[in-house]
Amino acid sequence: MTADPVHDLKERHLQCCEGAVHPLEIAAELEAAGIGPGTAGRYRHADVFSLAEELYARVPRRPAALRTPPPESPWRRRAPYACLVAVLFALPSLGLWAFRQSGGPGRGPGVGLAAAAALALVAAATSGREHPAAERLGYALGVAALLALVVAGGGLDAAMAAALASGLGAAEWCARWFRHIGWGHLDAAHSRAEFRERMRPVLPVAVGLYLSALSAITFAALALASALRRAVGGGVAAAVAGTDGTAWATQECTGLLLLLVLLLWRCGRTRDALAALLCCLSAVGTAAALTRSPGPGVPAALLWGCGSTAALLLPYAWAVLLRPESHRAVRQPVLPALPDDGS
Amino acid sequence: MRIALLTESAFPTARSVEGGWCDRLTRGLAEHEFELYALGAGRRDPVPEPLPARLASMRHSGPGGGSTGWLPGCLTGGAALHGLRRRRALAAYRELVGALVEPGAAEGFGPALYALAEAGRGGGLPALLRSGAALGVIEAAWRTPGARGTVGPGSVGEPLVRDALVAVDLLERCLRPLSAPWYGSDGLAGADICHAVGGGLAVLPGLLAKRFHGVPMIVTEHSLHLRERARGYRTAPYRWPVRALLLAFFRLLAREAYQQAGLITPGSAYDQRWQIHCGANPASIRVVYEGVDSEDRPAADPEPTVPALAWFGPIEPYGGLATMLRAFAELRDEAAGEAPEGAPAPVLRVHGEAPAGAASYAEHCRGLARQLFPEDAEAVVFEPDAPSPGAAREQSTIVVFSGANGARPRQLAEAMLSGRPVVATDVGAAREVVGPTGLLVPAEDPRALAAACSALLRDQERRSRLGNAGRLRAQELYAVEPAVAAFRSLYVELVSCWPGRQPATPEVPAVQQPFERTADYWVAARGPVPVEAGAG
Repeated sequence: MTADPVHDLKERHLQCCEGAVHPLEIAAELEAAGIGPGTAGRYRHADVFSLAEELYARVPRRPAALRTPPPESPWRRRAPYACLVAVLFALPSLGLWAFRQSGGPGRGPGVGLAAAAALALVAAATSGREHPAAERLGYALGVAALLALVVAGGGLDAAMAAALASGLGAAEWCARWFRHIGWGHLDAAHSRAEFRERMRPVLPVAVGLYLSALSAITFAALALASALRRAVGGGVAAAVAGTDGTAWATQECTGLLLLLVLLLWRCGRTRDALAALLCCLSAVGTAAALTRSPGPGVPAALLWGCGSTAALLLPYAWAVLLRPESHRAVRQPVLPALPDDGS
Repeated sequence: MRIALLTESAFPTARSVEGGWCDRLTRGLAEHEFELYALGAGRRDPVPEPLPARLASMRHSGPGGGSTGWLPGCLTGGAALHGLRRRRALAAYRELVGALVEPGAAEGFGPALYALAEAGRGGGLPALLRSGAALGVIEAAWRTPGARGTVGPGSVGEPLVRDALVAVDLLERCLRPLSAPWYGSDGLAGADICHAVGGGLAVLPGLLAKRFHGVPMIVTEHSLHLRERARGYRTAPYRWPVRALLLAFFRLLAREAYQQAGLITPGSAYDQRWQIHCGANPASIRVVYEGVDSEDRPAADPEPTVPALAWFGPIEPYGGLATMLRAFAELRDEAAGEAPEGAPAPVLRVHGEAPAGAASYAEHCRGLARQLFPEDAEAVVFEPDAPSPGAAREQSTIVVFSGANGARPRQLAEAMLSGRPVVATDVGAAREVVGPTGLLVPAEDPRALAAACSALLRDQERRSRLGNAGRLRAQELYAVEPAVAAFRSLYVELVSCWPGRQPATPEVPAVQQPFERTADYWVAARGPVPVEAGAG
């Protein structure tokens, strides 16, 4: 026997010893390798535990030798999904528009309700499977109610309403981009303060991106609609310019609110998202009651309701989404499964 | 007696309970009333109807703890902790994390655990343990100088925000039994004994019941939970600080449980070293082998015409399959040299599954088999399904366990019950289980394994003698009846050592069963004589 019997053992289990967090982990490994109380005597130890403690003391910790690259971001691929969401949300409003253009028999509330139900279905389908059913239902109803006010309730011009609905695709893209950035910073930041510092500019950038995308979509929709209407070009720019500022402001405010709700929802703050939807709807209702003009009052009520809610929600969401706990992985981390106890 | 069985597994379906340990215990001890508390189950898992295995009731840890209806609380998330109780809970959590992280603070684990449970009595604890405040506690604990699990800045051992997030979530998951709705008088407070099966998190409700209601606890570990955790975490996808935190949690939890438990029953004498090392009192340890319920099956039919070795074990490093293949090659060479012309060459049947992550090793073993036996593809048969040693016995002449990590006692006992001779590596519990009725060889020694197998293959008389002896030994020691009898006396021993709880209202004649309470209970109820808790 050599002067240092443990040396061979150390070489054989070097990787385990370097990555061990406690001597018991080495003891478990040694036992798996067939070293029991009898064999430990060969290494001049009374039992496996003291042998493991010697190994733990002799080998410097080097966790760098360990595997586990940071987990891949599940939010990396977002464009296909965002396109799908845009198309799905645009379909009901386009269908409604086409139905009204063709002058179908039922111009009453039935068609609008059907469109709202379709929107609720789409919202429920795209809300993500990981949330409880009751919350998904609330979310779908809230989003559908807000969109139905715009699309079917005559809140906005049909082209703008369709643009707003399909703008949810852009919102989806922005929310996923936000999560993706947050995911990266979770693996880079060393403290919560540093994480907050890193995340601070991300939400304004996401909002800016979304609002520009929404404006572009609206512009395109308006141009397309006027081109369709007049069949011959020339009046496109005029038609776009002819849309008044209130409509644009309503469009942007409603869109911003939907983006914030979606962000909160995707970041796992489902109750905040539901509360925001509820606030917004009641604010719209209050504004409608205050303005008291049935026909053209809807855009104004939407503008006031959504605008005030969004103005309150934006700083709140900014503060809340800076926190690391808003950036949890969708799938909860699980304890490693142990081998079945053999019943 | 009312016995609360605590288990970490998910809600056992009727199928998994029937014939399992729970079934064996409840059917064997018909005089007691058993309730099953399943930690891993949620509100949605269905309660099997009628309850399997003579259970009086089954409860899960979701809100409501037993009912399956829709609860209004699931939308609002239950109560939240506020004010003083929140501060108390956070302080206890800080203590707890400190005990896990700071070296030398391990003594504070138990008190912190109980304080946390006390503060979170009214609900709202899970939400607090997932909040940013908990995140801050873990971050601060990791930043204290000398904290365990953090290795100097700049290295990959330094905790990141993601590590804190994962650690918070995992700790919350581990501490969820603290807020289980079980601790009322219709639950654990009314039980006479808590029986935690499997160790691990299952001891948590037992610890609380002992602390708050004085219910004695017995801990059964068929396979040592802490060792399995330490092994399982080597391949877990967590970074260093999270692993250190969680292993410390399980270590200290096991320590607290071993110290508080009235009796501890490991599955083999081999495992009790771990329990003693982790703080168990040797006087409270009783080895109870897990019963195998096929002891009345007849011995296997006559041996197959082609001599066959049946190998059992996981196909993974330290599983011993490579050793077995090399030994088998040696055996075939030897047999080819000696055997008369025309005698069939032995075959090896591999019964085993590759666990997740060991697929490359399984491929390596298949390659090794092809390389060792290029001319005879039938020499090594990888059985597609991996039945237990009891089921695959007809096709085997000898049963071999060659793993360096040691076969489980239950598997060895099943193999012995089949009446075939057993060759096992001399590691783990093999020596005490097989005893003189099988051959033991050193681990990772193909030559010794080949010699043992060929000695058995050559000697028909020795094979049948060892097989019969093993069968008799298993029937005597590892059947269900000895295990059940052991628990019958252990329950009585535990309760008799325990002073009765102060009955809340002894004058109210509840539905009483004769001998429901021990004598000390009534003595304690009647007189003001103070009785030391845990005396005896």
